[in-house]
Amino acid sequence: MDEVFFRALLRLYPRGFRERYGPEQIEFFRQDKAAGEGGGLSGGIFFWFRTIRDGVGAALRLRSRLLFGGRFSTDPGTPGEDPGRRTPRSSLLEEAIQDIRFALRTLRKQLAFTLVAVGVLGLGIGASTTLFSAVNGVLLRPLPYPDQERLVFLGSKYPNRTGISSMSIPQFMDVEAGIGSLEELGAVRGRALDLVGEGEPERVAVSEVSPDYFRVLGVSLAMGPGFPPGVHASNEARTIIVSDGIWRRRWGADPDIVGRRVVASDGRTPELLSYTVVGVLPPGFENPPPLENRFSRLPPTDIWAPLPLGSEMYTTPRTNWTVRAVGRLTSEASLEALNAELGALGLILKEEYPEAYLRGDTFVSLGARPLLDQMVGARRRDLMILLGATGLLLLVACANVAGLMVARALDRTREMGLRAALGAGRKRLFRQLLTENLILALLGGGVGVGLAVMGVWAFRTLGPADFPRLAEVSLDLRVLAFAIGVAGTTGLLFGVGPALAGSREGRGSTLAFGARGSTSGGSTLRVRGALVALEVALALVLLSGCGLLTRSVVRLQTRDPGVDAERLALMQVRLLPSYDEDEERNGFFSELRTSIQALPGVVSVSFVADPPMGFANWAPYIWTEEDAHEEEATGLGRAHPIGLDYFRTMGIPILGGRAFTAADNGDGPPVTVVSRTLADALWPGQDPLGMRLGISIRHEGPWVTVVGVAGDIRQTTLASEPVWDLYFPFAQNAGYEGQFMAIRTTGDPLAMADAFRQTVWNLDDDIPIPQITTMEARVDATLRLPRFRTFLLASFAGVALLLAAAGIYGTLMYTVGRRTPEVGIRMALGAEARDVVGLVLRQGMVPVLVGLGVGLVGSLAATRVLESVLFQTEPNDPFTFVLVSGVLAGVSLLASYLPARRASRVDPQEALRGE
Amino acid sequence: MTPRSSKSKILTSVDLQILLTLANGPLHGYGIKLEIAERTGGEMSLGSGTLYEAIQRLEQRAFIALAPAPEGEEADPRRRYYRLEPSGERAMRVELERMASVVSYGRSLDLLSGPGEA
Repeated sequence: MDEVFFRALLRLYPRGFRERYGPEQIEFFRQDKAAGEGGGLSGGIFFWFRTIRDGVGAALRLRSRLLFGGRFSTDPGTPGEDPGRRTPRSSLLEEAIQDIRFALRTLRKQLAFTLVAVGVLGLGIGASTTLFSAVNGVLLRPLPYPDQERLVFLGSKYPNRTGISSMSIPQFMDVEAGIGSLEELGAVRGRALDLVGEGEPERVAVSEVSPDYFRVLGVSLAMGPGFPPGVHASNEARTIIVSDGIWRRRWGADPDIVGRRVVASDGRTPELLSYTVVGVLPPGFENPPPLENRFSRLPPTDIWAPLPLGSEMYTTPRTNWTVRAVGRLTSEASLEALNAELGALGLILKEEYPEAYLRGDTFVSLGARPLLDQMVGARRRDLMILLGATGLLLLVACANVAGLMVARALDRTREMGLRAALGAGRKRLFRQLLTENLILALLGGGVGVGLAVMGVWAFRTLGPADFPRLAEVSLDLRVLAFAIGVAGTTGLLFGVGPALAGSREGRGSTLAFGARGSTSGGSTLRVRGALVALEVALALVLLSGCGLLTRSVVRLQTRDPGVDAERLALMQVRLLPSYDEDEERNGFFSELRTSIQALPGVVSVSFVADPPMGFANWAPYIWTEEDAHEEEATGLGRAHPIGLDYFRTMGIPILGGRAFTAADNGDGPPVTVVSRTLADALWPGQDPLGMRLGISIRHEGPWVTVVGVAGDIRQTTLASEPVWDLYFPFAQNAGYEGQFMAIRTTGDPLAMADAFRQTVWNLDDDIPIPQITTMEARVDATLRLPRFRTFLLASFAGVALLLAAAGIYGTLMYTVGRRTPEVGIRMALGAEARDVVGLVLRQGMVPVLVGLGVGLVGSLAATRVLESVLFQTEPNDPFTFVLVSGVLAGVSLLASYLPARRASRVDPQEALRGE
Repeated sequence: MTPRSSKSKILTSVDLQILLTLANGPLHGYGIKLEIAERTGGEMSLGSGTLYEAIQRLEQRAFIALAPAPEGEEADPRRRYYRLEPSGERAMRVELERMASVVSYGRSLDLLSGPGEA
């Protein structure tokens, strides 16, 4: 590695020298490195610093000697000269060094200008690099699997939907048998295991995979032989492959892990089971996100087990859409060919199993799409919005740099004229300006790199956890080069061009004494005015977008979730299958309820299977008594099995009737509490109490009686609308497994987390507790993506606002400076300070107003893309537009006022003396 | 531009140190570096670029030349030996005498104490 770098360093030398002494130098380097390195990071850095300084220095000297045409030719054996090379190129390098020195001196002299220019460049480069890096990391960079562009995600395909869903095991076997376009095919199904026995009980995500799964992804095991043949035939061979992470974390990187037995509960059989480890995956391997196990929001998969295809292909219903499949196209096949094959297979399956693949009018076929598309799909729009914002910001920065450069170029017209008159060639002047601008671009680039590093860090840290591939976002050097290139080129165009134009006309006129008011000043002002207007317009577009998103998030945040989220803990308790009798489970939970209830600081306790701000699993069809004999259900409900005291604990109001009591158990008649939305929809104007409903199974009962009406809740996010919610008492619906315990406390619920855990373990210390969280945290988690989106756009808008203000300020300061004599005359003739302020403000605000007008039109067009991510906010929301225009106008006014005030303080005598 | 032809006849301090080192017998590049570093107490630690730049200069002025590898070592293009040539020895002497005269003049002004006094 080091040597590669050193060889690169050698390329700096003239060719002849390199060929003659290169091998010796490499040998020298090896010994030097072996001997000289001081050890440690600083030693290494110092070593490299010396080596590079030495190499670059020698190379420069050797090359300049060559150019200089000295006595050293490329052939060391024949000392001689090459007179033809001497004169024309002789001074090139020296001049370059001269130019660099001169440029540095100039930039240091005009420190304020340099700082502003570098800052503006840096902001633009940094911000755009961050965002380009993010988009690149998530959208464009290939997946970390070999030949990833041939990987496809395949499964059920619904008409008019681009996404591909999961499929069933029999379907997977059909695809495996009948599709020729695929070289390899693998399937995954998620589940969980509770590791018990040694260490803390822990619940881990498991991916059951088909035999070829790892081969499809091109990964080989770091250790162990892998699944022995035949293990996929049934559930009996309990072998597992573990991740590098869990191997290190749980088993201390035990080198003898292969063959080790691990005791766990699979949640299905009452006994604990013993699994044999047959392999360890290489570090960093993860399932591709579309195939990842999202079981109960566990951390990424740590254990891979065989998918029992053999036993399940005959027993699993075709409608059990539980596996997700990934395939690798053969080198000849195209995606179109694969989709044609899958479509044909889908038609055959429809003929054969209409009950499985025809759902009403909907034909569920088969299809495939690139794995990357499947993965990024839903977030593409977000990233495109950000990409657009990045482009706008880069434009603002460029306009600003352009404004600065134009002004400066004009200021230097005299200098250029003078130097031209003294005999400097135009080429020479051009080179010198070029050098200056390159140095500015480099400095700005340096600042930009710093900002981009911080930005990428912020992106990774603040981004929502379920944003795909966020962890892969890293600073992209090509992107950085692009941003520096764009900003640097802008600087060159606007810096060098006008200055040279000045130098041309300058030979005569600029040297004339007091030529400040030459015509080029006027045109420069016009250009700068246009640039300011452009900046304002672009900033307004960004601000409008940011304003809309903020308004949308605020609306979302202040929305009532339907439950009282404060001081409410949620603890997930999952019994091991050794509790196989209902009485045992009920006994455990009633004991747990009593113990938790007895803790000081606990107000009330209840159980629920699917608390709000998450998915609800049970969506049964429901029939009213009126529709009992209709083929079609009255509608789709959303059912929640709950424990006693649920409504009180969650803070959901009972609007009519009663909540459940201990009498609503297996012996009593089946009862339900329905949401207000359901009651209003099914029985408008009637008393819902006493009405009866059929659940899931049409007119066969059992009929459940409505005994109460509860307030509406929002289930998945704050944006979701209330639906037909029904609640059932747990006591009438067996199955406590994997449920949440809701605990209302008087103080901070998380402060009691340890007490809760200890209470559970006092009852049974084998129970794994995956998480204790709060309702507030759950609400917050659903807000993370909209907030993140808003945060990003707000950063952009803020930077754009800053840049626009800097542009206005800079332009006016420049104008005020130029017009000092004029202002002096006006004031000598009796103008008040107020008049002067007004004069400058008017001049400053004209381009701002033009920019606002253009920006409003642009915003109306641009914010349309935000429509789909806005909540209860129109993309042309007048309030937002008025507000952001006001903010922008206010900031512009402030930026204009400072120069105006300065102008008004001009001392007329002082000003006139200068003329 | 200032003419530099006269300058090319002057030995730089690196040149002189290399010639001094080779006066003890042929040596390869890294060996030269080590010996110079040792003799100057680490004050002159040459990088490969500077060293070979000087070696090229000295070779082209025929002050030093390639030497066969010492007995028992195989010829290796990555580890070539250099030896002092008669013209190099002359140039070194001229330079050392020039320096000696500078030193004795300095001593006559009582600017430094030499080994003979104390």
